[in-house]
Amino acid sequence: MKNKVLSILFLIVIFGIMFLGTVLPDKSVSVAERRKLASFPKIQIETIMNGDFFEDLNHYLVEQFPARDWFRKLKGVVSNHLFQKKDEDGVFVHEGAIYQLDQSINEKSIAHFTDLLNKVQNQYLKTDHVYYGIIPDKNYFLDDTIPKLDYEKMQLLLNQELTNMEYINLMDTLNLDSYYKTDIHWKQECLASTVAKIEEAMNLRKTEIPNEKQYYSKFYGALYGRIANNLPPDQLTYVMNDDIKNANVFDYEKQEYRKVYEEKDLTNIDSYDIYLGGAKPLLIIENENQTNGKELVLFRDSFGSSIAPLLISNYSKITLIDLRYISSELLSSIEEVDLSSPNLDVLFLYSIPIINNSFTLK
Amino acid sequence: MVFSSVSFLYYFLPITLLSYVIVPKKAKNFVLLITSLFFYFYGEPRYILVLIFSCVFNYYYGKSLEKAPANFKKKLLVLNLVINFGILFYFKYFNFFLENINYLFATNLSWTSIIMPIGISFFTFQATSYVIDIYKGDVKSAKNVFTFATYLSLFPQLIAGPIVRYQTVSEELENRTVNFDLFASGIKRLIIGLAKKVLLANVLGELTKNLVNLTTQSVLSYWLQAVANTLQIYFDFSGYSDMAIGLGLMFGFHFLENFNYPLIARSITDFWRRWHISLSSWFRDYIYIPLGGSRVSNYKKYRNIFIVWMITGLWHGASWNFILWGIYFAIFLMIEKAFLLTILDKHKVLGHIYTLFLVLISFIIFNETSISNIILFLKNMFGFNHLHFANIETIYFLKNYAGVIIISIIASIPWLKIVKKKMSLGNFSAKVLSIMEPVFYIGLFIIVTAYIVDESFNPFLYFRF
Repeated sequence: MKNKVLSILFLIVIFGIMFLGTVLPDKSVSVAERRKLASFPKIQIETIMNGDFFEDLNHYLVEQFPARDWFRKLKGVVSNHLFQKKDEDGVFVHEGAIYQLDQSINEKSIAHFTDLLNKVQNQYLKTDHVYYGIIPDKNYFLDDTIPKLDYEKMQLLLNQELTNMEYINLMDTLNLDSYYKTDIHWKQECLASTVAKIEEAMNLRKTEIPNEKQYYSKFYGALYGRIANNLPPDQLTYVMNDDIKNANVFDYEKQEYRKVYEEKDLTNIDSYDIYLGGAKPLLIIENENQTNGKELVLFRDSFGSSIAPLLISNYSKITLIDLRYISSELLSSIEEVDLSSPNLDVLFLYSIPIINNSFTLK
Repeated sequence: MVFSSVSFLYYFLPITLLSYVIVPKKAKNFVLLITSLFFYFYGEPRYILVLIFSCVFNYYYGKSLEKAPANFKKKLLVLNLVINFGILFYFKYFNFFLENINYLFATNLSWTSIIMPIGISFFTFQATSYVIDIYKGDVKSAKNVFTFATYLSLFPQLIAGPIVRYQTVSEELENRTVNFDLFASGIKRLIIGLAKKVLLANVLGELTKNLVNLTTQSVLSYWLQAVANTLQIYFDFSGYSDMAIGLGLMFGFHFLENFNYPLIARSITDFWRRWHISLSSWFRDYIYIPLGGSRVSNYKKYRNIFIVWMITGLWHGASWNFILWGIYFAIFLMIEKAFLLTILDKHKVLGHIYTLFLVLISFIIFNETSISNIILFLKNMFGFNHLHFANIETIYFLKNYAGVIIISIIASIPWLKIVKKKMSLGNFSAKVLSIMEPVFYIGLFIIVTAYIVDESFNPFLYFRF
């Protein structure tokens, strides 16, 4: 009897999932992983014969598996509770916050990063006001029982190579509370010390973090979907003042104007897009309230999106360049920015995860 | 196609089972043949013709050999072995051979690297065992080419063994029945194999990878790598064998066991009676015994051991570390045969520690591709390179994977088997067992699925062979 029951249950499972996998419509994106899912591969004699088709088919079948997110959660629960494993593919929960394990310095990547920055400086910039800062990932603030990068060595390697620009050490301006629990990013409202340090180093007028705040209470960060634990969402805050409200932002890629914050961006896959619309190759923030004519060029990653609005009051114009999406080779062709101006302020501001995996910077 | 994949478990398997059930009895082998060829084509489209050639060639060769005059049979057999092993040599060893020729004679012979067809070592050994057994008169040739091709290409054991001899399944190829008991036994075995592979071997592989990539190594990290690596290879390969045996049962075939708790062995001799049994018995029956086995002079006996284990090493891969691995075992098997086995039999705990230690070291040789890497690994492991005993990274990974390591150690000894056997003897406990068993296995299958769905890359280690 038990053998009959087992056999029937087994057949129900395999035939049931095959049926569901066949009839259910394909999903285009995975919200939990913030990426597109594989679609059914094209059938071509060439790809069938070289095996690519079957490889792609495997990939497609796994990614479109019925109730895939539920199964992934189940894996996490079993791994956490049965095997007592703390992390899932390097992602772990510690005191109610999620972290991504990163313990190896990639010296080649750091060399690529410093070479690129030096190249941009030598090739385009004529100003003496060139600065760089690095943004620690939140693991920097964890206790020493968890493996971490050798941050001192990383700073040393950067300082040794980036000799023609001034280093702004931001490491001690942040702490664990400066970061979201479910995301890798820092919180805009906690950047007072960081902004103050930048303003001091760049001889800018000291400003305050704006008091007017808007909240979005269901912010599930990029790390949330990678663990099985059901942590509460973060509250995402974006701060306002008249300069920010009135600023116009030119999106070079779309060739259109937008505002610093547009609430529709909160419903994107990544709500962090509220800050200047997320990943963009080139944005120009124009602040008509500031008539000093000062210009800042900020070479940045996603962390730069949230700090840039806090620097607006000091500048008439801030240009944000993301070298992940626009090649440094193309910078001379952008008419909207004169990188050779001797009066420019230039700040290279990058997070450590990007510096340690910098081959996406072109 | 790998067994622990969505494509196999949730598409290939149900379609194959359905096709198998709905066709009349005489067409069942044909269904298995077609699905097995598709199974191979799915993973290795370019080399399907090599498999088909092996099926057709060895079938007709077997027929001819059976009918050949007695004085001509030996020559025919030798020719067959030359062709079969020649193909294996070409695909598996020619690059290695040329590299060594270039090294030895300082030549610069160039050659486009050949990619080895998956499973060629396994189906070549099966095909040659068939022809040798016909030559020896131990089996009759297959009824027709489809029956033989079904045997050689049967998907459960096609790409990673066990090496199933024709005589083991010859009757079942002609006549077999499947009932719920047999089918359920197959399901249980398949799920246990999947669990070994997906829940243990893959996770241990992840640990090994993390340890290899540590920025700062320690003595403990090397020991941890050695332990994780040994357990990973065991669960990976024995898991695959379990799946193969289970799938065989689901279609009415009884393959012989390939592993018998090798990590509880008390000597290297005992270990090789329990590890990859189908391979060691193949070498015993087709090389060691024909060379004279152990019933010869001491010199010849040790020579035979040396030859067999050097070839066993080479079978595992075209690289010097595999040959060294075989020789390593040959040395300890010779020592044990000379005197050590008697001592180990008397001191069982000592024997167990001795065996585990040597097996642990053996898999370092197995895994490291160059001699210098092997020496470096051993130096680091035994603290000769001034490494710290432990560091934060190693402790973190040890804590993080302690659960998997403990469960793996428990699963590598037959405790659960004994408990299950005892439970089935009592009335009440047998009832509990009969209710719990289907729930346990289906639950385990769902968990395995969850792990597979979470993985995007899931290679089997033994596909290299």
